[in-house]
Amino acid sequence: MIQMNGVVKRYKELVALDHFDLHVQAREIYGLLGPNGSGKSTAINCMLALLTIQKGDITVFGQQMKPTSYALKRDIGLVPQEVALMEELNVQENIDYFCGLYVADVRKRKQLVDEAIAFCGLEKFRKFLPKKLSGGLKRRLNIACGIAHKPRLLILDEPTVAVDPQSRNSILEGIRQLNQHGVTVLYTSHYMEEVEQLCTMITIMDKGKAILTGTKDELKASVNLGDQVRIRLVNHSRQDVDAIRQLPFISRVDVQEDTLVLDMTRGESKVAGLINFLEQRDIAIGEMSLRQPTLNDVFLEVTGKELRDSV
Amino acid sequence: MFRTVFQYNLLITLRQKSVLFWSLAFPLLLSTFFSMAFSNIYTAEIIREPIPVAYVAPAQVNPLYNLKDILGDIPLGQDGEARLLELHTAENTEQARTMVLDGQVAAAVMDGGLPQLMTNRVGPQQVVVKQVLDQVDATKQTITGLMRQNPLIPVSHIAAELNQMDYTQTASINRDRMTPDSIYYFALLAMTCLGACSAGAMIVILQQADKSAEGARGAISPASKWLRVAAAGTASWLVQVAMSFIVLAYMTLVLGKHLGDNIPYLLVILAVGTLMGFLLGMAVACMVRGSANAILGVTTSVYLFSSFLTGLMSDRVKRLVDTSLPWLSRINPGTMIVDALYSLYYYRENNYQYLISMLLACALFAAVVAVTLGRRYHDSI
Ligand SMILES: Nc1ncnc2c1ncn2[C@@H]1O[C@H](COP(=O)(O)OP(=O)(O)OP(=O)(O)O)[C@@H](O)[C@H]1O
Ligand SMILES: [Mg+2]
Repeated sequence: MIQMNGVVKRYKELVALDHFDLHVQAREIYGLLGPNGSGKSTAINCMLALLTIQKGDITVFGQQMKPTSYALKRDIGLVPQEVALMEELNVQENIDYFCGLYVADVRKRKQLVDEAIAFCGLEKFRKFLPKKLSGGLKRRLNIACGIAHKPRLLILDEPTVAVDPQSRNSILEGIRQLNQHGVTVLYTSHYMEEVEQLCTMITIMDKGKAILTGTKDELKASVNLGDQVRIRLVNHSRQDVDAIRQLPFISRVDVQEDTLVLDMTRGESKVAGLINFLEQRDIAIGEMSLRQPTLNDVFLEVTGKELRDSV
Repeated sequence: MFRTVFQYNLLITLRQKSVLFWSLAFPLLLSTFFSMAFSNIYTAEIIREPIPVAYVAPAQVNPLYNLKDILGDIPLGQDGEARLLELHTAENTEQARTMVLDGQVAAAVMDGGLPQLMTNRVGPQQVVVKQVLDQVDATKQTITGLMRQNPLIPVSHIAAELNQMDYTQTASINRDRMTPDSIYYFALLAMTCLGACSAGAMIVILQQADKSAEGARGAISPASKWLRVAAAGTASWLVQVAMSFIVLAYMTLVLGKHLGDNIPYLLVILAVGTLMGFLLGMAVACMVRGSANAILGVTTSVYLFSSFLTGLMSDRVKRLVDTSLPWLSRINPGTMIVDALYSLYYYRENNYQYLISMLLACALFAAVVAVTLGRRYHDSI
């Protein structure tokens, strides 16, 4: 569906895309993850032939994408990162205006607009001008304007920033449904959970390069991360801690007062082994929690950066 | 697609507060203000009596150029013995001031260098005296200019040149119902036309991918940039034209201002003038690299500079530019509209030459837009 091979994009000296590759197959929900300034939006703009590129080639629907590829553009929908609305048009008119660039038939458009309004839960705000909408509602309208014409390929650039959790869930659900109806989705986000929940394929990018690509599980597998156990011990000595450190399936031990944070090696869960070991030594467990690695950990591991300030 | 973009841009333009203000509310308010300010001046449409004016001679009398004789010689009405101004010689400025304050004279003229006018109120008589002085000064400028070019120029040439200037303007007050203050209304109309440039710039901004997020949205749609710009531009321009017509209708019908007899021609000038202003804004927006705000800033500066050169703020500037930088006033879009409108006042005839130069300017700006708007890929958005 989308093929980007060795794309290089420079803004003057700054290299925004550095031999970037992206291969999106039909009917996927593809997640593009990266910290601020890693080049996600730039990649999208190059893909849509808005930007000149210095090197590489880009095809969409198997054809080379050019600014004049109007036939291709008809089947693409974009929800840009920056809210792009006509200030003087109300919610319904905005959707109809942008949909009107794709669909000439007025009656058909009316139906499409109604569907988009329902999709984004904007029924109560039909007659509102954008400046009367709250930040989150504006973003929902931004989404509605990008999807109204029923594209076959939908590109969303951080669409749910500032949208409240309920609306976000209904939007994610909507995207999933669109996907079930055959829409291919390219999704960038800072919300790790969203991408984990939603995406079938994921690329992690940093500094303009695609670093890791795969399904969620493949990504987690490709970096050496196991489960993490936090355990509060009621009575333990230094020797006990040293003994735990010696266990073959423990890769790292971090002591925080009476709580131990244990990184376990990858593979089958060794939690039972750990509990056995503690019982043998007569160490009482006060509290124990288990955390499976998240994409954020993967991300941290490969880029050395937090994806977002707080997870 | 053209229809959708066109219709919605009609709506958008009509809802833009800045457009409504500068293209409609502002000229309506200002023309109302003019009409109030001038209301009692021209109720007496015809000056029947000579106007008493105090005259203070210059420190050094110029033997070749005697303002007093010139002023004293202007006829009142088409024929007859009567003179427009009745000159009373004053010894000095102090005495002239006393005469003005006592109401013995309507105004005082202080000769020397650039003649000064002194009045203590504004009425029809004072306006006429001011017009006379301006006219004399303009004539003097013309003659000096001709002489400088060719000191041996035959007097008949000078006379011919002066005839073209319609030296009889003051007398024209008596000729038809257009009064000197019409010039202010024409200036206001010219500014309204030229003001369409910000709407033109806005259209380019909203349809160019690298100028606005909305433009990027349009650029990834199957509607080509030409189609979007043409549809949106036509809609926005038509709204501007409609507004200039409303302003004209308000001036003539509501305020009862007489702005010449050939209203259809005036409407054509307004429509073409608006188009020129609009295309000027589009051309500026296409050429300026930078953010939307930078573009609007440059457009506003061009607008202000252009209207400044036309003398909409001070007619002395126009005269200065006309004489010392004639090429500048020839290429200044503001001057073209102003000249086209003023010619209605000064010459009372349709001078298609102005219309043609405006259309040429439109073609030029359109060509600039056509060449620069073609860019489709952007280095940065
Ligand atoms: N118009 C531009 N001119 C110059 N540099 C730019 C421009 N747009 C982006 N950049 C730079 O290119 C790099 C990539 O930017 P881009 O917007 O693609 O990042 P992003 O991954 O979308 O970030 P974010 O998560 O903040 O949206 C950044 O370093 C940014 O500073
Ligand atoms: Mg971005």
